[in-house]
Amino acid sequence: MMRFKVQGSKFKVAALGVLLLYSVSASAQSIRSAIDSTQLLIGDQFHLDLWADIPAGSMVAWPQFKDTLIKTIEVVEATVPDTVRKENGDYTVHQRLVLTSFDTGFMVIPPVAFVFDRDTANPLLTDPELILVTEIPVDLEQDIMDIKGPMDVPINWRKYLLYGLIALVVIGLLVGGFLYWQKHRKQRDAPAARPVPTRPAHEIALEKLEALRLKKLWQSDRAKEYYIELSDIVREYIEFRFGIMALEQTTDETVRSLQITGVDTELLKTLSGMMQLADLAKFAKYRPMSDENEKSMDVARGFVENTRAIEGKPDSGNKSDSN
Amino acid sequence: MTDIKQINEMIERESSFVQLLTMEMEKVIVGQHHMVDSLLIGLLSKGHILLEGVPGLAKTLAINTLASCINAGFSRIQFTPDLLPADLVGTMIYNQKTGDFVVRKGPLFSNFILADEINRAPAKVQSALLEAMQEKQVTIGDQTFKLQEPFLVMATQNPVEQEGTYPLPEAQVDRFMLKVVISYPKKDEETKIIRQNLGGTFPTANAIMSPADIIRAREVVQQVYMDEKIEKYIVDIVFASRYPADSGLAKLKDLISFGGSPRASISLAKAAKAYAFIKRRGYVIPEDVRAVCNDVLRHRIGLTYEAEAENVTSEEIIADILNTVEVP
Repeated sequence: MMRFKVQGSKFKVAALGVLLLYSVSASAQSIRSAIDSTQLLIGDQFHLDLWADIPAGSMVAWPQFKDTLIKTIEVVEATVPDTVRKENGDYTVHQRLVLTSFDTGFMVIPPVAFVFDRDTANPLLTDPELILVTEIPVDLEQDIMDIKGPMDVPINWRKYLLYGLIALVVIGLLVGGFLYWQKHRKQRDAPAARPVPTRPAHEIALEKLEALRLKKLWQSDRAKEYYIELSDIVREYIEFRFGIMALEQTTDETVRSLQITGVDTELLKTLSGMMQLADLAKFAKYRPMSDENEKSMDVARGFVENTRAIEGKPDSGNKSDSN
Repeated sequence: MTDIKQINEMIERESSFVQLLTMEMEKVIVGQHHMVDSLLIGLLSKGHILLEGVPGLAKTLAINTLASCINAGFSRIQFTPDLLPADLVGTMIYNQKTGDFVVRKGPLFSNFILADEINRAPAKVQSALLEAMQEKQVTIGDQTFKLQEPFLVMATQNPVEQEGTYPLPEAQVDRFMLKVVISYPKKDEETKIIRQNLGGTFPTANAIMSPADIIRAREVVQQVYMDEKIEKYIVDIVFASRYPADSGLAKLKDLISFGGSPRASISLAKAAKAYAFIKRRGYVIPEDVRAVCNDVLRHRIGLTYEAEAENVTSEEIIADILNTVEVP
């Protein structure tokens, strides 16, 4: 229920903020107030509307409100005064206050003073309003009830769908980032691969063996160097031809690995003998005889030629074609 | 420098006892060839051994048998939380008759010491043992006593129980030349063990050597030739454990907290020489280095939390290193 009041009485306004409105009209000034409820429950909110009709040429000092009207009535919110100009130049200013009370009983909303044209001696006052604030009725006959459970909020599928999509995108980004990091880390951690030759392994090995022969190392009393180079050439050939990590394996390990590839047993036996002789020269200061040196070169050359890859087939990892 | 041929002949001659000793030990110890080999390596290269394995794998029996074969003294010390350093090294006791303090030597004064469950004793007792191992001498009161030669300590650790133990700090574990991990015997070996134990008469090992023979063999082992290429190979392996990224093993960088110390390089070289001697060779080849690499390095490579979280073992790291470092 909304009630309107018009009041022309005067009141002194001292410490109020000033809103000045000017007009050239000489129409009569008037103020009104209305509340939307006079009976309410404790904590309920209600509205107090204030209007001021201001003739053109007049001005009004609009009342200012703090956080309470009186001790028991709190101001929850006060809207900005809204000015509406009429055709004849007059103004109507309106403001709504949202009020509440946390006390019970009858309370009076005090009159609100409006000062027109700086006539502080004769302010216009609104009528006081009487309101009744009551408690929530309690049935003392009944037992004490348990606390009320949480209210069910209706499911907003659109909202959940949006959240779901955002979550999926975030998870996707995290998973993608992790996979990228893993891949990047694996690439970074991978040992530097030995450059794969573009030519067949046997060609390179035979060339190196010939170059070694021409160096005449053992003839110049450098048998150790001769066998180091010889075994390195053979092991490098085995690595690229059979995909065995011969450069990181000992003689026994290399021979065992070659056995799995199916290299001819006799060929392997002679190679093993040559490698063991090379080990003696490399690690035991052994000085092989001239014929042993020549034979070692022949064994190496024979092994390469007899296990060379068939044209058109890749080198690394292939089984011996001599079988 | 002695000619390699002479060294080879000498090694051939001097290492002939190895086969005899191994056979004598095999009369008592069934299987566990790796442990027996490791004992010999430790014995010949003046290194001490840390054995890790569950109870009942013939650890005590092995060192006892070795002592019997060499006709040397043997002491077994069961490490407990209330053990005191004086219980190991000995103490001064008051003689009422003479009115003097006299030295009562502890069980460390023997040739072969079995320090059973070394991680059960507190740090001060462990330190006393490790100091004796390092210095080969013990001070009681104001007197310093040299320990007997050969002096070999075989300490055991139980990997299962962790409660109430005092794990050896890295610096002290480093004093052990080898850390040998013992596994269970094979089925046929275990059957043989049962028969041996139920047979009524348990075989005993005969004394076939004297401590003096071992001391002489040690001198011969030192003469085993190690080429500079093998030395470089050892250094490459140890450096790869320290700076894996520089050796093309960047994936190990986050798994290794610390690599092998210079003592690891020394131990690797000594153990490789002893292994070559056992194989009756007068020179070291890469196979010898690889054969002892696990036992020498496994307790000298520190693993990071990341490695532990990913269940990466030091053995796997060593395998990666050996598969990457080029063999000379």
